[in-house]
Amino acid sequence: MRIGVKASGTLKSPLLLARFRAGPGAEGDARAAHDVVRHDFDLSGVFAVSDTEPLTEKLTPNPAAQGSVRVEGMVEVAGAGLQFTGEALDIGTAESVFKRTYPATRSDLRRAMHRFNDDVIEALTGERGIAETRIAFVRQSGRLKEVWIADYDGENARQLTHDSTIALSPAWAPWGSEIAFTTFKRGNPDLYLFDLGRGASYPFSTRPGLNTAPCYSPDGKWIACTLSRDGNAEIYLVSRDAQTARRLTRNQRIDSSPSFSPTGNQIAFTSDRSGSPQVYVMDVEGSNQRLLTLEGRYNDSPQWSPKGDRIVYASRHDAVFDVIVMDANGQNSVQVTFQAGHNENPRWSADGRKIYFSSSRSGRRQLYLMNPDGSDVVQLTKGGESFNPAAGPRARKRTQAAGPG
Amino acid sequence: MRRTPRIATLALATLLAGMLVALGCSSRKQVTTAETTPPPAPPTETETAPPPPSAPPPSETTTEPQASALQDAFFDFDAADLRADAKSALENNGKYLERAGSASVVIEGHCDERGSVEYNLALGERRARAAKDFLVSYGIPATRLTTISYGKERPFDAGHDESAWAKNRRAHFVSK
Amino acid sequence: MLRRAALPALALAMAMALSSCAPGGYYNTSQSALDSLLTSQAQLAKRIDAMERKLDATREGIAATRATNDTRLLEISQHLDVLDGKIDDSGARFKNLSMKLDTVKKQIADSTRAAGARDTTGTLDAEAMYQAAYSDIAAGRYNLARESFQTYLRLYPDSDVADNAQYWIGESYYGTGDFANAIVEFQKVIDKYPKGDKVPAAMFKLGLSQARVKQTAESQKTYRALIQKYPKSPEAALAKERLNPKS
Repeated sequence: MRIGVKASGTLKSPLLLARFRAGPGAEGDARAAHDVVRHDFDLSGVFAVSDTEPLTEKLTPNPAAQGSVRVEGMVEVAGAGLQFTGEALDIGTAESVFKRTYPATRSDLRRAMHRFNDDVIEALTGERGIAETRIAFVRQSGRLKEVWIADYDGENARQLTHDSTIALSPAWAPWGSEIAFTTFKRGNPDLYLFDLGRGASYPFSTRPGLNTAPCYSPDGKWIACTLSRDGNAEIYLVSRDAQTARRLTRNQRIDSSPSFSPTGNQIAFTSDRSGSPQVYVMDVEGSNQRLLTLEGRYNDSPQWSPKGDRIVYASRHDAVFDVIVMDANGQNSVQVTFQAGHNENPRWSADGRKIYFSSSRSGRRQLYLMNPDGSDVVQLTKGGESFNPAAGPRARKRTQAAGPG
Repeated sequence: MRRTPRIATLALATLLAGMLVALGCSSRKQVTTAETTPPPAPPTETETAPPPPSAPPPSETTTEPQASALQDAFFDFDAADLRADAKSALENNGKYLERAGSASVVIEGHCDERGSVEYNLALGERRARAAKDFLVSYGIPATRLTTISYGKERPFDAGHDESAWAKNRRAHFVSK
Repeated sequence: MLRRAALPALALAMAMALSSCAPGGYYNTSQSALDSLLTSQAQLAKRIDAMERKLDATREGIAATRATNDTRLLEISQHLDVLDGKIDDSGARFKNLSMKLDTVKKQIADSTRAAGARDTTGTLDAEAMYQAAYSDIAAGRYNLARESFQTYLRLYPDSDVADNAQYWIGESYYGTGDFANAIVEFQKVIDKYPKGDKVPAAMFKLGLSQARVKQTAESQKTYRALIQKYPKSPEAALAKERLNPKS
């Protein structure tokens, strides 16, 4: 583990963000819209943002500033609501790269700005941003732990489950309208599926013993999870219609926390089969199980990056936990958190440009967001205690007939 | 007429004998019960012995004459092996449960706060299972023992140091 | 007459009383004898209780010993699993180190051959090539992975991870649904590297591939051979489930 070395992965493009112009009666909205977009661009991990005044005349090409971007925006009152017009210009060529008008109301202006941010990032990089995505996580108050949901930046947090017991380990379905999680509401750690459309949850696996650590397969047809019905924690594939459960691991030690590769053909997981938890990987059929983490004595909570090239996990060293990023082949592990306290539960954002994690650096556990090289750490939650982040997918469209049933 | 007294004598004798039987037996019974009062005749598998002094299922507060109340078994960090002190606690619980008739207990597996939610749920399960396996080997029917893991989600001591952690790494017994 | 007739009846009654309850019998004749009998009986009861307690303690001792021994056996069995795990892990660590060693060896050979001039073939070093190809598998770039592994095997046929490379060539076909070619390539793992640690996984995947192209008999034969040759491998357990799927 190269402790202290920061991966030089992210090269940020300079972005000049102009103060948004405002139509009559929309001055406050323009300022609000600007602040949302400014925050989005900052969090994106793609841009190095600086502020500027809006253009007063046509932009002239500046070949020296090749690759730099300028963003202009204007908010106007339109009918009963608002409209926002945003444009991204290449400073090098002075050409417009992206321009669009977004209808909005005062209450959903934030959402419109998130969309603009993602559109600009897609236009410039070919890969959509995550400002429109949401996160699920666990918030503790007193002895109760419930699953919550929030915008990608922690805003608009609201409580999802009301089980009045312990709810844990939320995981998003690939189509984005369902969350699998563990709940003790029937007295046993059972897996339930929360349907965001209906606002209700229903049981998925209530087998005796553990029903924990869910992870959807990329095609949404299977949920890999931990069951202990045969004695101790083993990884199973349970079909989403809950008819078949296929056991993948078998030993007298712990196997848990499965994470699919984006191809769906491999699963990374935690096992203490060699005496302490380590990250292993297997073919999706359960064969070819092999050690992945070659360094560190205590490695847990692996998650495969959306592109499949890297795996993030939590490692215990010198009595603290820190987040480690490594190549998917187990090479080049780099520690990316260094603050005091425990840094755990790492989870990739949908675009793989960010990592969510929980940290006790400020006392109680809270959620944070950072770049995969450990830079730009931002705290997302305050008050109470929050952990177990899970980043939602970008596309909300349902890709296959895998609805509830 | 002559026969009457003979019959009367016979009846008297029988009556007397019957009284003696009754007297003799009752006097023995008195002796036995008087002697039995301290510890009861221990129940064996086949005997339908009188229920132990406190017939209701054991609770954590009831104190038994010989086996004290159900004790917790404690574990080392990231381990589910039974330490010597855990074994003697479980031995005590075995005795206790044998005398407690058919009472059922839930064995809760708990962990300290270090490590992931998911790994600790699995570790708590191993701890509860280790305690259960011990008691089943001891002779307590498995049907009387259920296990559940709370992982690190229900700590007994909310502290963040080793003294709190040591208390939280346990198999905890709760009567049903 | 009267006494003579009454006596046997009385005797009979006394005998009945005595046989059913000895102390009662003596009560009539001797209070002290009865008392002593009662005392001795109480002592007997005490002794029985003591013995029962002893027996009980012994039984509890036996139960405790049994529980302790069973626990020890279970823990030994679990620790054996841990040892197995450590051996498996060592294999992975060894292959990783071996690959790094190959790289170092090649660098030394290169530098001695041409005094600092790098290998002119322009190929990556062995480890980097293998790792890049493996990353392509994980990311689903199967065709790219296959080409890289095939090149790797041509350049480094004696590498300690040659069997792994061959396995991943099989997997590159399997991942794209080309099961006919997957069968050919997984078979090569078994034939060319019979002592390698990838054989059980290759046999299992061979069986799966055969099943996918409806070669059911061949598939079952492969599973049975796997179970027979590597009964303790995780793949053998998986093969058993494929042979006898639970309803």
